[in-house]
Amino acid sequence: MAITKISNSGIYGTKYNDIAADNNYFETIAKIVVGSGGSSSVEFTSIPSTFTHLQVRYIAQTNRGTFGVESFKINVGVSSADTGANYTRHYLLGNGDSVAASADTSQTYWEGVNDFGTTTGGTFGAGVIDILDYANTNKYKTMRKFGGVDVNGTVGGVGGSAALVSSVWMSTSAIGYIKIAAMTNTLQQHSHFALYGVK
Amino acid sequence: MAKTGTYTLIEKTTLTSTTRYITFSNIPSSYTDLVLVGFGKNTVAGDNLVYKLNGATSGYSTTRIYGSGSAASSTRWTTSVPVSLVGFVGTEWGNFITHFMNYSNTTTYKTHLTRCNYANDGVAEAVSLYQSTSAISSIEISMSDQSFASGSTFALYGIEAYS
Repeated sequence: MAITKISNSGIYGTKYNDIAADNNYFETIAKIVVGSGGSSSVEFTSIPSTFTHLQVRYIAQTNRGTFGVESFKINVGVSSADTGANYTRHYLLGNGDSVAASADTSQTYWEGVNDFGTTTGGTFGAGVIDILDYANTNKYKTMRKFGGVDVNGTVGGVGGSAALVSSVWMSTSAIGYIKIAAMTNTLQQHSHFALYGVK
Repeated sequence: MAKTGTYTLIEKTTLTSTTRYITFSNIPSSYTDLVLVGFGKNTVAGDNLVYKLNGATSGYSTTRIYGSGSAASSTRWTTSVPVSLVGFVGTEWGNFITHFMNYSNTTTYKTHLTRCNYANDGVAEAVSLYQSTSAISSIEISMSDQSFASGSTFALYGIEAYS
């Protein structure tokens, strides 16, 4: 299945939905499923530089004791985590009641916003993270996340969250390592992270 | 084991007449995630985009953020609704994309993520919960009150994870 059709003619105009990902251009790289007992973080190591973009698709839950949401904390690097003040963040969030937007600079990790569910809320958060042009050694790296958590109302007075989050890792190094954790608590069993490469 | 053929078209349909309901059924459980790509418009006015999963008429909730071009808002629906209210369908051609994450596991409730993109009507993102541990094997797509115009298309893809 290649790009099956791109048409500027006909009654529909450009048919965006026909621009599908080619079956041979979206490949699995690795998968991590958190086992019983949980895990403080998950790591993708030795990521090949042979793709153009990376995508992480996840469902995840932490053992946070209050509220139904918790933010992620992501570090990237060449072969280990860069913990320097080299990360920025922008986010746009809706919690069912209101919307919010904010930005941060010079952070020591990419902080998400309400990305994971919790055992207190009883649900898993889900998200799709794109790391664009990750192997390019001429520019800083842009990352973005689309996702959220729904808790069927509120937990501890806090609702679920639909959010868009972006970050820049201010390094020209190719990314060969990704570490994903929760801001404070532990990732729980059945949390599932799958890494893909896009050619 | 790494796989190269991991983003696969399962089924695609194009409407040849105004249609109220579109259903993908007998969805195989062999993938990790599903991605539904819709391209369509309403025949009368803007309306909610809704899903019914496995034929269930309860157990849905959603948190949504919406931008109209002049203002942003957020809305929450809880399990009082009989369908998954994931977004909206505009009056001009536009698209919506939904990711059904880990749809075939039988341990967790299912979360699906939707984006609706309509240049004339606005943009929305929604996170929706289907409170069932059953694998999702059918998806019924519709609107709250209206129908999809002829020419609307719906494509369902499966994504396999590394194994």
